[in-house]
Amino acid sequence: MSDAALPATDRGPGRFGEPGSSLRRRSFLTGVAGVSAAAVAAKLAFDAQESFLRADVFTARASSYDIDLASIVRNGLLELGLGPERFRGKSVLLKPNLVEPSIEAPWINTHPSLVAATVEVFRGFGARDVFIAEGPGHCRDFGLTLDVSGIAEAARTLKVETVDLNHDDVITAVNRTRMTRLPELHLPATLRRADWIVSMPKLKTHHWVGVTAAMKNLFGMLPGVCYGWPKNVLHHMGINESIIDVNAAIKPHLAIVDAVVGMEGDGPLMGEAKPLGAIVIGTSLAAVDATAMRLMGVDPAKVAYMAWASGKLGPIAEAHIRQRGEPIRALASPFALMKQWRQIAGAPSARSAGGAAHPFAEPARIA
Amino acid sequence: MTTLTELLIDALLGGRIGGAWGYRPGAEPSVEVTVLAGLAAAGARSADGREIAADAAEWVSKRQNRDGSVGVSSRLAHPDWNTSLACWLWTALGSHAREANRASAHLIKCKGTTVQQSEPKVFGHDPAILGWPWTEGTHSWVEPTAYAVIALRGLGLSNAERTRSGVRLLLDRALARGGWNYGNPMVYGKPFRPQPDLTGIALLALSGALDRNTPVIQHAIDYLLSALPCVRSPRSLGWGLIGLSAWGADVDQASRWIEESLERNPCTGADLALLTLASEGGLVDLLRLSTSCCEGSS
Repeated sequence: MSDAALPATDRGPGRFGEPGSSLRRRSFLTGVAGVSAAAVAAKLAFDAQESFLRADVFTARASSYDIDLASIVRNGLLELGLGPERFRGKSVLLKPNLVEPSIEAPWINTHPSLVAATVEVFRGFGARDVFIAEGPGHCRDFGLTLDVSGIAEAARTLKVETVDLNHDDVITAVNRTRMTRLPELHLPATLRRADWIVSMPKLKTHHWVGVTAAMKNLFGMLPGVCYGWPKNVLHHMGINESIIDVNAAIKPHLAIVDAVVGMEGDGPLMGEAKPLGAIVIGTSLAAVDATAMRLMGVDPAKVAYMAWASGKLGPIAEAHIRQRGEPIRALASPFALMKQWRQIAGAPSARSAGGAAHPFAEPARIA
Repeated sequence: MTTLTELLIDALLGGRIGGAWGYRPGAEPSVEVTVLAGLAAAGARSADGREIAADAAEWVSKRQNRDGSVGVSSRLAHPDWNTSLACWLWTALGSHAREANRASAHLIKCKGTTVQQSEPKVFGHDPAILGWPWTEGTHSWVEPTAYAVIALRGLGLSNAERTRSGVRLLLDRALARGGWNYGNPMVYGKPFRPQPDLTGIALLALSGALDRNTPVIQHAIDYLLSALPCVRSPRSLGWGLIGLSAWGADVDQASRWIEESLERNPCTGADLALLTLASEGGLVDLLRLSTSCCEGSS
């Protein structure tokens, strides 16, 4: 791609992709190897960066969606010291992963039974307001996505509000981490209403970044009226980098990962259902994702955005995460990985954050 | 007007703020919803409807930036994918010619990023075809490209190279099993799934540009006819019916489906406008697509 196709300079507020005079213009499609080596070099000290951080993560056994999920979620929260006193009178936003509607592959999206159970738990804790909010990345029709995923039925039964973040009023946050070139991020105004922002992802492989879980799930909070369908700005800026910036801007409070049935293979849309039988809960999304990845048989240090999140957003090293509930080894079951992602499998060894960058992404900036 | 359309227009008018509409009651007015509502009012073909549409068109014109682009709302001057939609309303009313010219000049300049895909190919589409992006500096996608094709055709630019390229892009992004999604027909050899709203929008953009018996058109119509009986979500139902109507494939049960959608969904804003447009019919004429043909797309 020629430089002429890149955004021009100095376009004023609200424009995306201002290159900045200090950045070199780069080719559109880049190889992975150079990026990976640089990422490794930059992140070899990640242990030192997070050595002062600790997080608790609760992992529960959940054999199916037909069991008492509310008890599992409630016990997990209590185990983490998150009792009713933390939620009484508060407003809680639940953000499931509903990327696109699919009757034939319901494992694409967070299961409505887990969302419903979580609503029940927070209401039982005395929350003033519990609502479901999402901005599907591939489908502008929020209603259709809710209908097909089963969330609409659950919301009607429980009389819980659903909010379309894609078409919400917009507020702007300065991008302070600047892993991408974005000077600011446009966020849904609904976030201001929430005392607790809860990421409720589906645990899946991902053909661009390796794995998607609690942190990647937050892409669905960015309004599509600003970013499009798909939210292509984030791909162009680097998905891994964008994950860091988005999480740093939104500052989510809690993650409840649907790993009862995940997705393996060609995720996040076309992979196969992978029963894992787990729910992972924690207040540090980096630590939650690290645990979830270990359950998948993935070394989180080999996933680029996880390596960059280390220290910046939370701990990812196993030694820095206090595992509560079930031990990882009791539930771990390797997920099938696409060929280009097989190097992220296994126990920590060589830290190479590799795989296939999104073909539209600019080369990763090194943190 | 049918009784259903009158009811829809009445409901639509209830959500107006200062001549414009937002995505939800009380939300900040947005260009997209105002355009769709203005078109719905214009389609009512009454004196009141024309006045309401004219107010909407004037409101949209005040959102035009100096470079001719039109942003999302008063507060959000960018991104500019609403530029095409603004042209739709001005074309339908035959108003704001100066603004429409500036907008079309901007559309001609606005380009999605392209790339020559080398082996092994990741995407099932040709990323080198030029279309329109959602945001500046990003790739081209079905919806903004379809919007732009409709806008340029309505302004008499059907045979401009950018319009023809947009048509080529839409054809390239069609799914093999029928219909369109946001613009990824296949990735890593796996075909993706169609969506009713995007299929309807693409069919509207291509109306009159191809022969009805073209396989991509037939497959898309077949997909909508099979999908819509189970869809009551206003956006997908509205665009789906509009797309079918654009190719003369009107559905007998359309009014009943629209009524069912209204019963099941608290419709406001864009959803209500789309159902109104679907109920009224005639959007192809309103957007002046019926008199604008592209001389082939190759």
